[in-house]
Amino acid sequence: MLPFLSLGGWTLPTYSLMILLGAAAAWLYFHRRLRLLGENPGQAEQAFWFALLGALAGAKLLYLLPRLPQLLADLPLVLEQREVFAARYLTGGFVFYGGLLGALGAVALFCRLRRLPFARLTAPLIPAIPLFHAFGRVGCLLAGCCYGIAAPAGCRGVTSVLAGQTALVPVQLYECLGCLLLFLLLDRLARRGWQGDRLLAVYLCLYAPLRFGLEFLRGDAARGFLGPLSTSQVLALVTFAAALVFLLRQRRRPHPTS
Amino acid sequence: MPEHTNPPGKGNATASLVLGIISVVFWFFGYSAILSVILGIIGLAQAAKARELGYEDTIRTAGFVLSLIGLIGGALAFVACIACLGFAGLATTVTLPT
Repeated sequence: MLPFLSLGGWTLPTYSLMILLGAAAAWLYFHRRLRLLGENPGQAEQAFWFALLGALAGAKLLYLLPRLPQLLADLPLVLEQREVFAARYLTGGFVFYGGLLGALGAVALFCRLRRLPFARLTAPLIPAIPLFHAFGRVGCLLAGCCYGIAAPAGCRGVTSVLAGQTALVPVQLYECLGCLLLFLLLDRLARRGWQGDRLLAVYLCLYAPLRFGLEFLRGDAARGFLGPLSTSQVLALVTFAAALVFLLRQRRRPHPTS
Repeated sequence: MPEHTNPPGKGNATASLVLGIISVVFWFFGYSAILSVILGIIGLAQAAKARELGYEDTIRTAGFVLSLIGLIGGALAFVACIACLGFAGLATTVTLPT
């Protein structure tokens, strides 16, 4: 765990650094693909920034939604103890699935308003999602959040300041590796000419079981729960089903590659 | 008499520059750093719109760079702000990404 990094007299939060590095890597990949495809960079860049804005809004909204009653009760704190309110609600607390849905919604809205084809515009964007996510999970490991359950006796683990000094399963690294593998697969499919909607369905079909399984290794109590399943597990089931139905329907149609 | 009309995209480039400057200014007011992030992203989208319309002047470049600096600085300042509070004893109330 390394929540802060000292560089030339500056103390920088490693979580933010990893998020920014992830955004930079996603941006570079996205631009490289755009050049190869000969797309209008201005249009695609706008879609990228809209996606980032939608991701921020979606990730925060999904975090706040299960906490709405408590949020409403704490509203007087805005005037009385602004720092406490900000620390509880405005600062940390982002849900990945909320970010993903927010980003996709923002790009879909952008495409609709500008009358652009969603499948074509998102083809270079979808593989960048797991690439960005992989960096984010390393950021989680460094910050000590999204930590795992206690490591089995005799096994080495990682520690988190939020979970005391117990050795924990490095679940953040497992997810990071899974995301990197997904990125490699999606990149290969994108190079074969797969369009954005099919790439998205493949991504959701593969990421959902990964996330569903890894949630059992998570030990942080801050996640929202819906009955015995975490919010992310419920969303994983829903997105998996939707993506699978889409892929099965697509199989009946001719392959879009040239 | 020649007509003076703005080239397409100049308005977007100017908006990008203004948003970039504002986003840098918001770094310095604690939690308002989140506004730096939001305004920085909108500024970058405006710079991209100017590029789409074929406006590649220095105003657009300056807007792009300032918005990017605003976004990066805002993200670092914002999370540093969270972490300071979190590690100062509010760890039970502060949660990072899930």
